[in-house]
Amino acid sequence: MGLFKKKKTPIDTLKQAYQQTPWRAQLQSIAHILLPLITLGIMSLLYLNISAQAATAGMQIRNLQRKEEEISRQIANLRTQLAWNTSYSNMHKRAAALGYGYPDSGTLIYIVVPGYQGRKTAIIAPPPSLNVVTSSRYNPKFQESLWDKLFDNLLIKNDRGS
Amino acid sequence: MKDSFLSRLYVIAISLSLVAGLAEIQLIRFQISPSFHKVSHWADEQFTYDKLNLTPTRGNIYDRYGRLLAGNEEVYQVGALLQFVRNPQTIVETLSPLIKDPKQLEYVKKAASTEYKEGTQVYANLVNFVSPNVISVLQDIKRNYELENPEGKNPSKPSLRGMVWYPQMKRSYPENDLAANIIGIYPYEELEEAKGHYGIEEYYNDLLTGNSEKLKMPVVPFMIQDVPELPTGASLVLTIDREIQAMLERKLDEEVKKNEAASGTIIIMDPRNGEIIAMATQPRINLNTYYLYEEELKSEIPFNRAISQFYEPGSVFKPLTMAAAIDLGKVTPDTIFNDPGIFQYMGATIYNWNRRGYGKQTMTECLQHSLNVCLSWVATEIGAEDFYRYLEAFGIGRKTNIDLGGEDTYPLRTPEDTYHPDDSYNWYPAYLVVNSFGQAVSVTPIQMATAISAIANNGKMMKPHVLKAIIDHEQQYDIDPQVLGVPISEQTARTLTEMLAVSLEKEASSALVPGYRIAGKTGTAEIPSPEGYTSNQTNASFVGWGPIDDPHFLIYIWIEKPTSSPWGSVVAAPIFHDIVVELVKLLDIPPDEIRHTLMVQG
Repeated sequence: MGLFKKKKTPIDTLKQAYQQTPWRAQLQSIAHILLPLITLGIMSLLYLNISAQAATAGMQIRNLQRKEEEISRQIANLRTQLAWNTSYSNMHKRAAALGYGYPDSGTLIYIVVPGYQGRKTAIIAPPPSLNVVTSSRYNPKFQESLWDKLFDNLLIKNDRGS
Repeated sequence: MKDSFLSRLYVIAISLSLVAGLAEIQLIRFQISPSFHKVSHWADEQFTYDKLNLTPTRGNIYDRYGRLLAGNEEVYQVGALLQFVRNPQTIVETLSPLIKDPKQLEYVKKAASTEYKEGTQVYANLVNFVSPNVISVLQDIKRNYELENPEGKNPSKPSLRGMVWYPQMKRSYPENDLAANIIGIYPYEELEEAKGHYGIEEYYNDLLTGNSEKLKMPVVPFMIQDVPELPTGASLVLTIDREIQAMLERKLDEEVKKNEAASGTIIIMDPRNGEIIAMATQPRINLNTYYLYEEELKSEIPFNRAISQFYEPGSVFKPLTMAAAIDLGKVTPDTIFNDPGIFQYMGATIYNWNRRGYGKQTMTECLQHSLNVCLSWVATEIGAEDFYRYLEAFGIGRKTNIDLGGEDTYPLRTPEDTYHPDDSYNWYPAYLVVNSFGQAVSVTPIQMATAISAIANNGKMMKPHVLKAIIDHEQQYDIDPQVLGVPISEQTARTLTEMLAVSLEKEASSALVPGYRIAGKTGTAEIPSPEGYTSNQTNASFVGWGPIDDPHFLIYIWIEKPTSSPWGSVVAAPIFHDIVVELVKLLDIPPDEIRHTLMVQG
């Protein structure tokens, strides 16, 4: 091969003519450095945006939790107030004021009511069920990190697509 | 020109790269350096997380038909955020009408005036359990002061700046003293330290309280953490019927007053399943103001005599002796005993209640006339070993384990108890005969009611209980009745029930209720003193149940030291009659004849 050393042709000289100008080449190399930084900046912005959304959701959840606690207290309070209003002594007084009273044994009439099983005791809650489902009260997406979101939405979807 | 621009860009790029690189290096250092881990952990503890103590609301207590007996109501805790307090004097003056205790007022003065120091105390609790109405007034006052003196900048003008209030729950008993001895006390003023005392509040304290949780909650809003839905403590449905309980307490109060008695106790039980339908005793306290009864609660008087006070029951004990004898085949209802009016055994001389001899008597007549001499003879026929074996099977000397806090018992002295250092716990042979008619043996009313319920329920003795269902995690768990034992056969139970029904009918007892066939036994017990049975005071009792072919109720009555008459037949039997007349209406039990007709009709 060495015996047939190629001489420089005019085409080689032409190639030199198409080289980038030095300032362009420098700009290109600067761009190579800045590109990851800009990408990082965009990701940060995305992250900030999602964090802001999560924070808003978090605040809403806390407000709802407080509201829930408040409502629970109100329910307990109202239930107790109702019990005070319908206590034995109150009901007894109200019944007496309306002219009601206990009947004399001699005036009682007993009749057969088909299907009547007698007075039933309290059923305040449903009986225990085997199908008890315990799950988080929050949508799991609320606790999803940016990486999880990208991984789930982009990579997994792409996999499915291919 | 271009060179200068490019070189500047180079400088910027290199600088940014350097900063980024340094940041990377620092991040890597954070990851691997143990000291940074410590700092990070500390920062998390201090600034990222808040410790939260979640205390569930105490569970409710309902009667058998779902009527609330114990619940919770919303009140407020008033406190001071020390950092913002401008005029402590105004806070003290505003709150002073709410404070009755001078010591507490002193505390409030001191607490409200506490100087705020960063890093130390920031909040002072001033007054607890303030009603929402009062809070509404405080809110108006605070607002008006704020308008007159914005941000409390003028110290010479009043300001409630820094005074805040938070909601808290307070135990509430809408029925006041109704069923107080069953429900028990919850001293809500003790805040986190509070736990139930006596009755249901004590026995089921853990269930009612629920499990409190300590959580680390992130302060940073975007760090969302799942807060477990905190359940309230379990709620309880009792076997108690509010209407019957009210009727029973009213009747007891009337009778104790009428008979000028020291006290009284009445239990209504369903012998078929051991459910306590009502249980009345004295004294009763208003559970909402339990703190007013501090002295009484410290006294020796039990909170619930029905389960805590033992006494010598007297002749209501005789059915147990007769049950043992019939079950062993020693006697039948028609066995004849020739009653001379006196019986001597191992140094003890036994007389009948009127010191008379009744001559030839059947066993039914022995019960009818409540003859001590006859029952003493029956006990000797049984023999000590078998007699005490039966008493133990009936649960005498042992707690019934009723689900109420504070049950007590007195040990049954048996032939094995002869060497106890305290002579009052020793057994002597003469006890066989005196025990046969309820002397020298101590029981609580609930023990007696439970033992006798075996006779009413065809020999099967059910565990007495007041809990019907538990509501936990929004599901209702019904409680199954438990059998305590079967001390006698079904045949014995039926035979004895018939004997006791006949004896009441022949005696034309004032306990009888027209239309209903019932069985029962009176009891009059002398009260022992250190010198013996020398006192004129007695305990008058009656136990009865019905309708005897399908018993729905068993009533045990004990009137302590009546002065109108010493006799159970005079004092307690009429009470039984009056209660049954009301009870059959409230339980929808028709007279026997109608009931049988209705049963035939379907």
